[in-house]
Amino acid sequence: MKQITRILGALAVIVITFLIIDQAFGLMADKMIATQSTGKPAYDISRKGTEKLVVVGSSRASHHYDTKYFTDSLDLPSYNLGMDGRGLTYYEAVLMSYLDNNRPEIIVLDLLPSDFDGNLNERVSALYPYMKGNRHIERISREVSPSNSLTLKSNLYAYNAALLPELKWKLQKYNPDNLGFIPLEPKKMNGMVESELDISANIDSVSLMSFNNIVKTARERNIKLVVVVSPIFNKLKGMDNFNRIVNQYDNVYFINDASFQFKEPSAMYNDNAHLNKDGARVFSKKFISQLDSINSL
Amino acid sequence: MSFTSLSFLLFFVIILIINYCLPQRYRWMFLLGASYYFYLNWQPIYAILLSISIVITYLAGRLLYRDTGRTQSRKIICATSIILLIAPLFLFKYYNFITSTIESFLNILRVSIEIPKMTMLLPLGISFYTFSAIGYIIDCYRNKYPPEKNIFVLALFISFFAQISSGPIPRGDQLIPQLVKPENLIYDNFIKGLHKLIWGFFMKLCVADRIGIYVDTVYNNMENHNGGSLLLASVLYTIQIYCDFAGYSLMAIGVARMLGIRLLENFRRPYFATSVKDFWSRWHISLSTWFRDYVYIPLGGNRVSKRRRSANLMTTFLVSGLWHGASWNFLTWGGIHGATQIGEKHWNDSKEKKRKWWKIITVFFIVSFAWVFFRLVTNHEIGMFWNKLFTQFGFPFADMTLLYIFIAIMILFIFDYTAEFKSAFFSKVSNNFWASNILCGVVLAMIALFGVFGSNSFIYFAF
Repeated sequence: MKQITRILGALAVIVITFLIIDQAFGLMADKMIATQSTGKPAYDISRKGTEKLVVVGSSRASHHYDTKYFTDSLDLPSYNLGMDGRGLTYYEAVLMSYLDNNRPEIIVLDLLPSDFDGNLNERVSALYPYMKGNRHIERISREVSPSNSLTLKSNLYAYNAALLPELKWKLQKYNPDNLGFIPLEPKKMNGMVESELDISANIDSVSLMSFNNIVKTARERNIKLVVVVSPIFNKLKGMDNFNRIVNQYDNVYFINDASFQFKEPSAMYNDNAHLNKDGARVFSKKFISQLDSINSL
Repeated sequence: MSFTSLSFLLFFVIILIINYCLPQRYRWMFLLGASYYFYLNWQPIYAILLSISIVITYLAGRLLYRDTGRTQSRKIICATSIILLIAPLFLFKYYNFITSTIESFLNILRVSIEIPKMTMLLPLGISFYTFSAIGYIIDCYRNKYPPEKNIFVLALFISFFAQISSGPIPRGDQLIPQLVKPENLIYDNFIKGLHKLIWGFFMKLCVADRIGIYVDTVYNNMENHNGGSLLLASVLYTIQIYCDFAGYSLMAIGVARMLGIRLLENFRRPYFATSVKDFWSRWHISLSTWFRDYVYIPLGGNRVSKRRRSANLMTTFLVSGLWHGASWNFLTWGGIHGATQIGEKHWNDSKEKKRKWWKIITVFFIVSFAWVFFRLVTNHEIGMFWNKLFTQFGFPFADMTLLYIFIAIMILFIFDYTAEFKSAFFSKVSNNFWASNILCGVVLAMIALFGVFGSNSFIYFAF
């Protein structure tokens, strides 16, 4: 009995120590990070604007759609919710949160077929610190992993994936003047070799559900949804599944610009998958003309 | 069901509760059922292979006991059973390597032939449980201890869930008596086991898997990284593999100890070794002592001429390399360790004394150098690594992950340094109720904040 009491005592000390640190960290982090965040995710989900067009996607969205140019030169108020290294669950969470405060007319969803493979589902965790009071993030966190409903009770765990990016944003100072667009400075791209990229991904049910939710919300709110595969240096192979998913909805407009031809590709790309700011400007111009034809439908 | 998955934690809590509710004499039966459930959860079909190995081992042990005094027949039983145990390991692990080598050799002779390849996945833990079984048979052959009478107890010895996937490789005389009569629920076992389990989690989730992000980013995209990044990645890989494997071993030892069973120590701060020989007395101890007892000593060990001793050492390390994987890079890795130990013997003979820290650093870099051949599999990758190291050296690729890595390595260093050089203080803290448990809570908090979750694989699962 004495041994059991001692074991229970030790377990209590471990748990209480953990809980004290967890609560203290939670209080501090919520004050210093969640409510004063200088990062793009926090800015994006709490934005209140009057834009007509919103872009959502991963790094290719954030670097390819010059929303500042759309707004200033083309008189099309726009905002870019794109974020590096994210997947469909993140797109859904950030877009739904954004739609709570904004009423855009067009959603541009920049995708690659690999977005449906579910590998990046967990990356929605960058939004977990902002979960308090945000029903979308809370719901999606549970869809990604049912155990999150328990583990995310811990403040430390909620910040697990967000702390490092938040530190990064503190150092980099996110500039909202570009309306979410993150331009990449051109760099010398010598010897870029075009290769064939097999993107016939397995379809993950959680990713597909996020896509379906985006489509459904766009339909309910009477917002035009344009799915775009923006330019990529590599040749894409295995688009069948992707085409099938995207084409099954009558309210989804699909633009495939994957093989968009630039006059001087090496001056437009920063690497095999991302345009630099010059490439983004050229593509943005072309994209708007395509969008005009959709708008007139 | 990996140790770092939530499903394992749930499984283990249930095991713990039921285990301690059962009378002591029935616990091994329950643990056998749990071990088979654990293994079936990984790869159900391979449980048949595991069972066949158990039957072979049991029969060999009993036959060796029956034939006591009949040397020739005992030799045949021992050799036959070892061959039978090694056959599946050979088929799954070495068959493709040998057939590809034959094909390449024939290609040089301009003979084109395609030998069918083995396409089935390597059964989980096959190298580990095969070695446990072989060790048991040799011990029985040497009359080190009598063979186990109950096949189900032997089955638990070979399949015990805490150690089956990556060791520590157990010894019959050390583990079997504990399985039959595990210790009762006592603080010393339960909480010390829990401390080991949590520190193992820290090593795996906060250090190994965090470093893995950087190492994979660089090594999986070598064309786009300079020599500086490759050098940093290779040094970090040295720490990653330590924390991955030692972390796993600690979890296994911790899990078993919480059940009242003490497994063999597998790692003892190997990067504080002052020679490569010393390194091998601290790294994967259960395997290195296995090779010492069942390969090196039967070959003649140290009781032979200097030249023969060197040959024995090299043979042992080449076999050790092959145990890790069937490819030339693992042979090279084993060869480097064998060669440096042979060199060390010469070095020691010349009585050269160096400062301790200088020796530690030298050994660390020798081991890091050898790990390059462990991590990079193809000749193309290895060639690119050395080429970039000498021709395209530059400032390493750096991102915020390195900050986490630095913090995690510092915590690990303080822990290992204290255990190695301030052992009195270390044991005072670890034996103090308040200090040890509060520190455990702090480590748990660090895991929740800094751990990399989601990846449930361990590097040594591949072996």
